[in-house]
Amino acid sequence: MQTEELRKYRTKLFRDASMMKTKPDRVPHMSFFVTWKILDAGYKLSEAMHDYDIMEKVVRYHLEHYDFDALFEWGGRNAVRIPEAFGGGTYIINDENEVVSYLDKAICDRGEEDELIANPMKFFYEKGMTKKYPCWAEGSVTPAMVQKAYDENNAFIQFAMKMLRMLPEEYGMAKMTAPNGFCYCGIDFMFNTILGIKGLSYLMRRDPGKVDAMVEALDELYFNPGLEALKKAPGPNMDYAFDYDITLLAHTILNQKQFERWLWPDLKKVLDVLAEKGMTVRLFMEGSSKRFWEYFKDYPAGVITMHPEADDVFELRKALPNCAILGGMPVQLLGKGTREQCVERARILCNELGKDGGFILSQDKMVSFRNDAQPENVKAVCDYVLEHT
Amino acid sequence: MDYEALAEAMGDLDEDTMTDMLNEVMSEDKSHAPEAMEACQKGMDIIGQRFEEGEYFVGDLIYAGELMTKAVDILKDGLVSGGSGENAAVPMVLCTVKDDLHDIGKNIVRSMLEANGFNVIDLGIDVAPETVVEAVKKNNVKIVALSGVLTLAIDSMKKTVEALKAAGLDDVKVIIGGAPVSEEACKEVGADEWAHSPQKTVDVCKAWAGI
Repeated sequence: MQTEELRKYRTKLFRDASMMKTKPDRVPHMSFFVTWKILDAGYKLSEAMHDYDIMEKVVRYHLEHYDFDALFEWGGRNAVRIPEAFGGGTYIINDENEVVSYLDKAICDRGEEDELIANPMKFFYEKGMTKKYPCWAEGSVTPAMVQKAYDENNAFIQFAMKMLRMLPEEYGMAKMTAPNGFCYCGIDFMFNTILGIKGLSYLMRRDPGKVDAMVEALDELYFNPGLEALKKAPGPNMDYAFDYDITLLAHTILNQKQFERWLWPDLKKVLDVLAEKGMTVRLFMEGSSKRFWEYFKDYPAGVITMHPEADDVFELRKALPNCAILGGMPVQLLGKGTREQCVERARILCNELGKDGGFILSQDKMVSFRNDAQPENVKAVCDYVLEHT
Repeated sequence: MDYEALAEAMGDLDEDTMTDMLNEVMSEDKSHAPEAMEACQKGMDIIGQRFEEGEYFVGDLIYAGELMTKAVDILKDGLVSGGSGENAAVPMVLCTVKDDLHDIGKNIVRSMLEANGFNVIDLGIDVAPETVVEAVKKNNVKIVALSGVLTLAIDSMKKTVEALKAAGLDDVKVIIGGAPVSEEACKEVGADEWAHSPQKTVDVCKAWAGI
């Protein structure tokens, strides 16, 4: 198959699986490999993450050694060079132990919430930057550093554009998500960056009214414009595997009432627009999302593709027959199991979950560390999918 | 003082009521601090139960840990002079394993273990196997709880269990907890038990300690 023909074929596999109207020609297979790719290609984490040419070689190595249909992560997950322009401190790369850690730095301390609510953007520049970067707090930041950060941001965008062209044009990869913008739920933003896990846990109990106000202020800035952009989307874009992508983290600490009060209203608005327009979304909820499955059961088939991290995919299919499933291959097995065990697991997944369509094979977690997967196991599963599904 | 009401305030995560009651205990008669502490510990049991029933979740446990720390801080003078029963606490080691820097799950478990009568020797995060072995020997500990969030934590847990066995500490019970653990991971690691919930960790450790 020619590259473009292959890309269209692969894209159709994803579309058929996610839209749940037609059984795909075979089960599509998505790579959810992240920093593992770097180690597998024989590079150190620090050298690939600081050099876009090396990162490109890493991605090419991955694509040339394993037959996936789409690549979720193209080398841009940890954009370390941008924060390093301000002295770094966001990521810790340990080449000896092959680990990248992200430092969870909340930018809004207790007592500062009202300032953020009044003017989030002003708060980010005047308070947030000082919390993230010592040079900003000390007043030692220079115009040259700001220019460097700006240049690094541009370099990252150029790299991203190059990779997103390379994947379909040179390797026939399905393009992952149509350019329909991004709705950043306020509560997730608070969880990830603004208050952190501890700060948000405290504020939800201590002053829930303030959480309401913060969600509203942040939604005004990031969520509402994203939702308006989505409302203007013409409908499904069949040139991409999915129309939309949502990754959620905050639910991992929320109880049911908190979910209903702060996350579900935003999430529902997005899902309702997608359902109305017949568009598809990959919904990745970190950890377990089982407590919240009930909320998704009434959406029409072919809107939501659930990508569970810690939940049983067979149980998920029974609970939400209206949702396609992406995932299922345990990293634990890819790392510790034999080739035969991995292939057997792939066979069961494809036969049971893919028998009527609605299934995309992928790894259950972002594959990050060397022992998360043995190369021969990954190759065996890729080969099985191509030959037997 | 209505200690049942104090336990309920803790269980309800009602910080203001709990704080007022604890301050009242300390202003009226410090010698009642141990009873107040016991009521807070009962409150932590209520919290654990509500977590198991699905009413509370992780954020609530983090907040509960803060309340427990605050309670100890308010009562500490009375606990020192009146005796808090700490002598009876069962020592155990807790840590996040090597190469993993996550501490929130570990801290939740620590506060719940402490509320249930354990003297938790918290070794922190990114803890090497030899450090665990050293702490176990030094404190004559029979229970070790290993926490981790990253998938690589499984390898570190396995190395820690191997180090304990290599040091001849075969009678030490090990429980592993965190997102990547499972029945299969438990077998791989060679641990005695595994848990996704802090309440299960507490129940298992209590059974091992016979309390």
